[in-house]
Amino acid sequence: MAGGLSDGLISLLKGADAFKSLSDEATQELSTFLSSNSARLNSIDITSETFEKLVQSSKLSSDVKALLSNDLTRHALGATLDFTKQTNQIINTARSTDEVERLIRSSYEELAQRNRLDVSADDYMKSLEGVFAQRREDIAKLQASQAGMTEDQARNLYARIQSGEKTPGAQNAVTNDDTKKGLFSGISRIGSRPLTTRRAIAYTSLPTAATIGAVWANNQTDGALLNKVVEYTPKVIKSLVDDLVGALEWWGNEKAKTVFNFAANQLGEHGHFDPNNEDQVKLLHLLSHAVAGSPVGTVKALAEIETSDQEAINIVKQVRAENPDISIANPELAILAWQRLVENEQQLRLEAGQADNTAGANPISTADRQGSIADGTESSPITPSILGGTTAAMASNLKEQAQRTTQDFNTRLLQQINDLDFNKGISNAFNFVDENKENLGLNSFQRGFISIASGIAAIASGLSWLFGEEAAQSVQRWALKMTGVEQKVAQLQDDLENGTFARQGNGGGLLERALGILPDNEPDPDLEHAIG
Amino acid sequence: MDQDLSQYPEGSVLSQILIDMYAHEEKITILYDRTLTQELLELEYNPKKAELYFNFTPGRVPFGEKIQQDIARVLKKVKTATLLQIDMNENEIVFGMEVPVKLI
Repeated sequence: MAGGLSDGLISLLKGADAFKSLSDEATQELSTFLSSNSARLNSIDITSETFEKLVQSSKLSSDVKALLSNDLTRHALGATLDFTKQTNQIINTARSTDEVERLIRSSYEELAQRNRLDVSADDYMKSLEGVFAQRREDIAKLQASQAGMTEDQARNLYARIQSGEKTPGAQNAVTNDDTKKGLFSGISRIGSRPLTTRRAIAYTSLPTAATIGAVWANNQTDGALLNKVVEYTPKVIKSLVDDLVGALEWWGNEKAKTVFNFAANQLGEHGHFDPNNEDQVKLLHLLSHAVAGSPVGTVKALAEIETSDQEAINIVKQVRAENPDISIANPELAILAWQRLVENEQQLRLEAGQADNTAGANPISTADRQGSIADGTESSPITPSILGGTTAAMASNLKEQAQRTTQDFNTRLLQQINDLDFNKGISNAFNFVDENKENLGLNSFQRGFISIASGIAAIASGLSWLFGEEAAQSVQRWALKMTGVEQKVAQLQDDLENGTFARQGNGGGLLERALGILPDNEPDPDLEHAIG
Repeated sequence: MDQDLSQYPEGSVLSQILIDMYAHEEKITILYDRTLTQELLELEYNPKKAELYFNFTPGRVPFGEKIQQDIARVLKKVKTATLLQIDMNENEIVFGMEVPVKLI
């Protein structure tokens, strides 16, 4: 089978978006490997496991091996090989063309269902239609030959069969329906009762089921059907790969969309974001995808800022290669920004001489600290100061960086991503917070919230770079809510509306105020009544 | 919302911040109006005396009044309490945390 499966695999590999980065040299290497191993690859015994062994024991370069060991590749190759093997078996053992078609259809349906392929079995079989027709004609010729007919006679016979005319060889046994399905469909039903294959052989001079199987098997050397199956299968499997990639992308996109929409709305309200400003939209896309943990989206967003697909994929690949235990997902830009925040915060505190900002022995601040996160005047768990003065330097640096050429920007971005270490970044953040907890006025739970919110804070820092600090603080307040408080409030609201509270304190109903249930200073009589 | 905090025992939580404690089913939720500047380690409750303490890093601060029966009933059962900081200007919750509740 002149390179059918080999070509199919190459086609598969090159067809998947994730593998477009394959260099010409690597493609050639892979092609050579597949061609030189075509006998084994085309063996009926080939499986994804044996293929994996073949790859690992080969002298392929590490890049190509890595490519072939990629999860998506392995999945797709496994499906391809398994399906091809199955097809091979069907072709070798099926008793008739009709059965081959039926089994291949059945096999494909199973494959499609298991892998949620979007190419229907009808379409798949349709793609093989011409091959099946050719196969029927070949068999008809063989049959005719065995019956002592010339090739022309055989062709005429085949034409008559195809037209539904009853033929001498099949006489009463072959119905119109049967001939439409295949020449030999009715063989075993010659006469009024079913015949075994053996009896059919004896009864007629027509090819037996075994002969038919041999025809298919022997003709594999030029086997149009198998080649066609193999040729077509990668296209089908490609849709599987695309599905997998698409699913990842969809999920990432959904998350990124949420981040993007929120940020765009918040920023827009404050006049910091212009949806018609293409550059702002692109950069916000990038931030959203990076923080939402969408590798595919991040790559695309990188492409949006004129990083080529190849460059973007290279960035992803390099990050993955150098950080095998982390995904490209959310850490890269978020932690980069977070590390900068930590560094800059430390620097700021040194400069500002804020070695001790505790309010004396009294743990609870009073009037001088009655500002809030909302107005940005109070030290908050994720302090506005982090996004305050320190961001000026950071913003300046990043703006300067952004103003460089795209190539330079990309190079720097790549370097920054390469320098990333997610765990180290988190660890640094924790250590910094722990060491400065008194200065920062944080308790352990606030520190916990910081860890959760660090990624979001990074958005804010990124946004401060793009849109200014006020906008960043706006997003930062949202980050606090996103770190669990909103869920608590929603639960409380639900409790309040569906149950009875006991309340004690001096706030006059702070929760009700927060939920907008009571006007200021106007106790709800019903609620008061319910209070124990 | 002006509140006369001087009516509460000096040094108590109630004398320093606006704070409301809510008990609902098996949950205790506490809302307060400003940022705490020291780490709140836990709440300590003495059911015999109906006294509640806020245990900060430097030490304990009494709530400032006896705990009411309906609150006490829940407070005895819970392991943690949710604290939410409210921005009084915007009437919105700006921060939240959970702290352990310990019986003493």
